[in-house]
Amino acid sequence: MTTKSFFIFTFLCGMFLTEVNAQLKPLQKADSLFDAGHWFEASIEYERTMYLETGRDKMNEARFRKALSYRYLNRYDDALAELDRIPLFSMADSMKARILYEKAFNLLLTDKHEVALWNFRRIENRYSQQLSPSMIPLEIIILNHSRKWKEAKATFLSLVDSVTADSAKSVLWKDSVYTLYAEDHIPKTYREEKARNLSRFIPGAGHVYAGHPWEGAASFLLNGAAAGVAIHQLWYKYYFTAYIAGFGVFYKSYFGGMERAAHLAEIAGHNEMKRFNDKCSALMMQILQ
Amino acid sequence: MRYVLTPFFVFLMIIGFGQKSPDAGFIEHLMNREYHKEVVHLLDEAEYKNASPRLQDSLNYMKGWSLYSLKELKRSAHALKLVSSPSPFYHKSRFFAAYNHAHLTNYKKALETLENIKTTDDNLQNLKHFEKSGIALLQRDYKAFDQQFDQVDTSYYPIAKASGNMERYAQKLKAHNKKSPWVAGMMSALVPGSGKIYAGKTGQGISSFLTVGGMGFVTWENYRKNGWKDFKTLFFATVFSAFYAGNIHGTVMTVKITENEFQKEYDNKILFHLHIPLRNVFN
Repeated sequence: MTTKSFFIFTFLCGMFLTEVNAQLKPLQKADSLFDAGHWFEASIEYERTMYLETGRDKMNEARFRKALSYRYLNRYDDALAELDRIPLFSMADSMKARILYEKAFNLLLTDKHEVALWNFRRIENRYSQQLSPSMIPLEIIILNHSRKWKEAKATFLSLVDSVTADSAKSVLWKDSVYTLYAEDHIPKTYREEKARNLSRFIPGAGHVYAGHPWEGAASFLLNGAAAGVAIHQLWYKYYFTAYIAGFGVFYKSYFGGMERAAHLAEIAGHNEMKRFNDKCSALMMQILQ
Repeated sequence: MRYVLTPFFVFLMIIGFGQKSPDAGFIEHLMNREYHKEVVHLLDEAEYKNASPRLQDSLNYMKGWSLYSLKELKRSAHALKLVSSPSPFYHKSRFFAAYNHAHLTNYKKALETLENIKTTDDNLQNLKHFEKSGIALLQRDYKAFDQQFDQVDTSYYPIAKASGNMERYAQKLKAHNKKSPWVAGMMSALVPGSGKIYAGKTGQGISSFLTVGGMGFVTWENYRKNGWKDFKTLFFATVFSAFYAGNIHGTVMTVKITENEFQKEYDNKILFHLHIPLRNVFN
């Protein structure tokens, strides 16, 4: 009898322990994988949670966390697709704000600045009580990318107000914000078309405009030399040489130079914005700490 | 003794119950949602050799299908061929495994896989002949193509359209005359660019003619005015020679590339029309 009881106990104990383990698995496992930085595996476990779960709130939470995993995996479009599948009606305002914030974040990362800003505006207009100071930096970065400097500065100043009551600190930080957004510190606009047109009239001028003066000078000299060869050969009645060796090379370097200038302008624009946002982020980190 | 054995048994049971085979329902759910990477990841991690044969077949099919969707054809063929004949996925798996081998240009394995498919169904036999004929065409074995294609019932709806196309491709391939790289090279040596026009690249041919011809005229002009010993003449003559020789070499390469492009284009067309009936029959 005792032996029988012993085996029954062992069996039930084993069953119970494994069952508890299984019950806890999906969401907890997903969260622990997420926390350990195994985002791909976490995304699978969040999907499993959605597959097994019938409660809407838990499903939405799992889908939201899955979208977060995708963002960490740099799969921004997939993250947006998951967020779009979360129905916003009959949901707590705090959750709605988190979802819209996450959408704005992913939209910023896919360079859709206007839509990102629109999502942020939705949080401000409908769920302003849910806006926390930690959410504001994203709005500032989006505004910077959209080149809305006045609004970005105003938002930055409101961030300073919201995080400190210390007037000395506030003055110091606000000074930094004013300096950051001073006319001569905000990123210059580099227009590709302008760079192309400058190089159209003076070869190499577009390169100088894009911040590459030495390359501009080289381009100017190359075009000048090719045109010079062409004219020189024409003058001495070497018509074929003038056309092929002079104008041929000039044609290639002239039009190639225009495209190169436009490309450099595009890169310069990106770099300038990145430099500015790095400075901006450093200041935001300082304030939020 | 009992007190020693109790924790040991509990431990064994936890291990035993804990090692569940993968949740086929969830994996199917992932597959239907086209999360193929996730399916492959889970099945790569899982241990299901001890699962029931039916479950093993289903899991191997799902793994093979997801790998196929991810274009990992070699691994896909391997997984699909593990599906055994009692499975409802058996025929689909074998036909797609053969198709994967064909796509990987492993025609011998593709034919072997098709040959080993167990079926008494007339439609599947018909499909088998059709796939074999396509593989023969991929091998450019026209005799084998004709033999297999003669056995295909082209009125069978899922393959009717594809078989019409396959027949047309066979005729075009049979009628195709390969361009000779030597002839093209000789033509470009006589008239720069003409070899490329012969190879079917008219635009490139005209461009080569203008470039090499232009450089020739520049050399001739400098030679006429300054003689051979002048630096400019020597310089342009060197450039012209490089362009001239480069153009001949380029022409030979163009013929080879054009021929490869032609063959590749027909390979893709054949593979596409081998694939359509499989989707029609099994989806």
